[in-house]
Amino acid sequence: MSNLLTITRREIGAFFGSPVFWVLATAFMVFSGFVFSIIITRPGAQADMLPLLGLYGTVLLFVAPLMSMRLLSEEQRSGTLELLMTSPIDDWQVVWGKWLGAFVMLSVIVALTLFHVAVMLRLATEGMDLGPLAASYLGLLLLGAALLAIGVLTSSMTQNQVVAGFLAVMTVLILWFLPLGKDLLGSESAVGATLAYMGLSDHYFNFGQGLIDSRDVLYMVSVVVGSLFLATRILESRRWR
Amino acid sequence: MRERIGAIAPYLAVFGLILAVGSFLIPPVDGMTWLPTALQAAGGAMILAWPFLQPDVFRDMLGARQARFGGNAVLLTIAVLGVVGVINYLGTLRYARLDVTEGQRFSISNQTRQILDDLSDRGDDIRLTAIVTNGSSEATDLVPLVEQYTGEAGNISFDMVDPDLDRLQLLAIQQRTGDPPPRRGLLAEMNPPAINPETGEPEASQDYRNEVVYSFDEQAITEALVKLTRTEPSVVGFVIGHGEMGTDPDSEGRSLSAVAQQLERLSYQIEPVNLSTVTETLDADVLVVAGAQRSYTDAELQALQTYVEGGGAVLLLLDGQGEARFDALLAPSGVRVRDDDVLDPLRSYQGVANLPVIAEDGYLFHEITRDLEQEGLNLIFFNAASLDVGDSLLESVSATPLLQTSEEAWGETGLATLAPDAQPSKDPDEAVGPLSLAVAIEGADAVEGEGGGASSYGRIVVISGAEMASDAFIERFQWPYNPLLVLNSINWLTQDEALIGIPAVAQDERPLEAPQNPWLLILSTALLMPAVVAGLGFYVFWSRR
Repeated sequence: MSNLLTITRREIGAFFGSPVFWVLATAFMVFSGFVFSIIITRPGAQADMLPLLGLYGTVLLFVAPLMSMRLLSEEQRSGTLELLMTSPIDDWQVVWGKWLGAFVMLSVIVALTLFHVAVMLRLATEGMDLGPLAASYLGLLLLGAALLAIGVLTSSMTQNQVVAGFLAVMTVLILWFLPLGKDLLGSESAVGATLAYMGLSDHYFNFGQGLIDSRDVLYMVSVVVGSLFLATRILESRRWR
Repeated sequence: MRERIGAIAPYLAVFGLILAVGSFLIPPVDGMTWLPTALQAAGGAMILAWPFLQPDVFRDMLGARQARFGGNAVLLTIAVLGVVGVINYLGTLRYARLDVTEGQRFSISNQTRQILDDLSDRGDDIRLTAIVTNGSSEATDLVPLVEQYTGEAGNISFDMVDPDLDRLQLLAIQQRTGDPPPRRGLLAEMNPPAINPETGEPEASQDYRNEVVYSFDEQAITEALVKLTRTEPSVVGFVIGHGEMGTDPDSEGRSLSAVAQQLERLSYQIEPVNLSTVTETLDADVLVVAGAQRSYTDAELQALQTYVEGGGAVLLLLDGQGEARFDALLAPSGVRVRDDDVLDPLRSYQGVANLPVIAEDGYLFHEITRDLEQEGLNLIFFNAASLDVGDSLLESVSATPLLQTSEEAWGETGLATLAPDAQPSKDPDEAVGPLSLAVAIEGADAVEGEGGGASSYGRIVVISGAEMASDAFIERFQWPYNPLLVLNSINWLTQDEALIGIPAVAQDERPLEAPQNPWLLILSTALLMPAVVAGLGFYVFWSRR
């Protein structure tokens, strides 16, 4: 476990020192802040963060792959992965440690939007429904965790971080729009229902409504575990390929 | 030839795999049900052709070190992903859902549950069709809500129709209902007719009924279901002519419009009734006498008494003390309205003794109060006289107190004559707590009438302090629970026990105060905050460098 935490700490440090992280965080805040200010100053605006959090989730579809694309591919390209693999660290510790580091940093970006919540609370004379707000943030964090795990998986497949990022964005977009298959195949079709279940968007938006469903939590956790397991296997395959 | 085909065999195998997987995604096509199977067979043949056409390549691959390690890795991967898949599948079979919204927006109310229980017992086929744009926020919110309806009552099915895309389904709805479907709304149908496979027309269904509502919240859906199941609406007659509270909002708020609105949602028909013009029998399922300001004539009281003795149901909302005019009506039950004002120093609203509060332990067990007690809802009373529940004069008539004050309460008889700065206190001759503020009276069997004939004694609910359910009171105290006592009483009086409960509360709007300086807000959120983040990043980056 200490190896995992060491890698996590190293990764957090790398993110803090990386201009890419700060550029992403700033871009995220500019975009979300702009949309927030437009929505909040509209006549008849309601004390409801949910539409905004839905939008923040959509932005994460691009931010998370950009954060995770270099995690393993850069190590492969620079040859430092070989060093890691010959050191007394398990492959899974490398994969999970890097993911955890990225997740902590993504959580920092998500936490920055609490500034918007504070502004809204100040203007909400009749208070806010805080339950759905908390559920939305939980959904946002779980979505971020799943997106980063997919990013780690694609990053393990190639040493080119641009390719890894592109693959990750494509994968998450496919997963995001997968529930549309239900509309094409009909809601009573077993394949349509399976596609809908496998899609990210439906699971995420349930949180935004203020519903914490065990199926949604299980799905997000499964995406994380499945993706990181596959990434570990891919990393391990370098030993016998 | 074989070598040529062998060269393209790997590509064929990949193509075959795509065909086989793709076959599962093909929507069912009438008259071509064989197509998926054929594609799977063709795909399978293309995959198997590879080892058949290139056996040497395959043999080498299987014997290689990579194949051995790779095979293990693939097996392990399949096993782990399989386990994850199975866990997810099992998770869809048994799951839990936590509704963290204020007012449990996605959890159906206990009244809806009872209505669904009743529907389930009836066994009618109920179909809900939401006509709403796919992917809209309304559609997204509706699905988890309706899932609870279908989960609670197995005879309810649900479908969504997009007004712009599903033209055929809209046409089918028009054929069934005989009316053009709305652009947006929820259609509830009971026993919808089956479609004749030969003609494509709906077959006649005698029990078919439908209702349309135009919003998608729980109140609206439940309202539609209640209306579906009611062949004839129960009539609630509000007695008029003596300064009683009406059902239309008035400027002083001395009205029961909030109660009337809820009654209409539950498919009750509201009619004004003038007792002085009643000649024979009163044509109402329940009569509501709400806070009369002037006395009734003997003939009117006699009409009321005859109505109850004939099996009728009356809700008496008493306005203040000294309601002696109903003594004769209540006499068989042993209930008497005392000439006092209830003061409760222990349990009252903000310590004001003449605003007694009924909390959980103040409810006595009865169908009318069961859900109020379970949900822990408090009631506030005002200007209420205490009710003395003595022995009933007739064995067949029983009176059950519904709620009572704390033991510290008493019935003050001299409140009107008390000096403005004087403190009321208990006198030995005054009634002491716990004091009843509402009573349900029920006749079990036939009662001997005046002419010697047998008649069936009906039901009466007496609530002391009619003000408590008025619009003005609800508005002043922002207390929406008081009308529930009146509503549940009416549901009990009409013997619609399935409707007794706590209805869904409509979602409150929470408007935002307009910012004093919108530009400052835009600058701070869209520029200042990102600038802080960028500045911090620059500092970290620079100091590390």
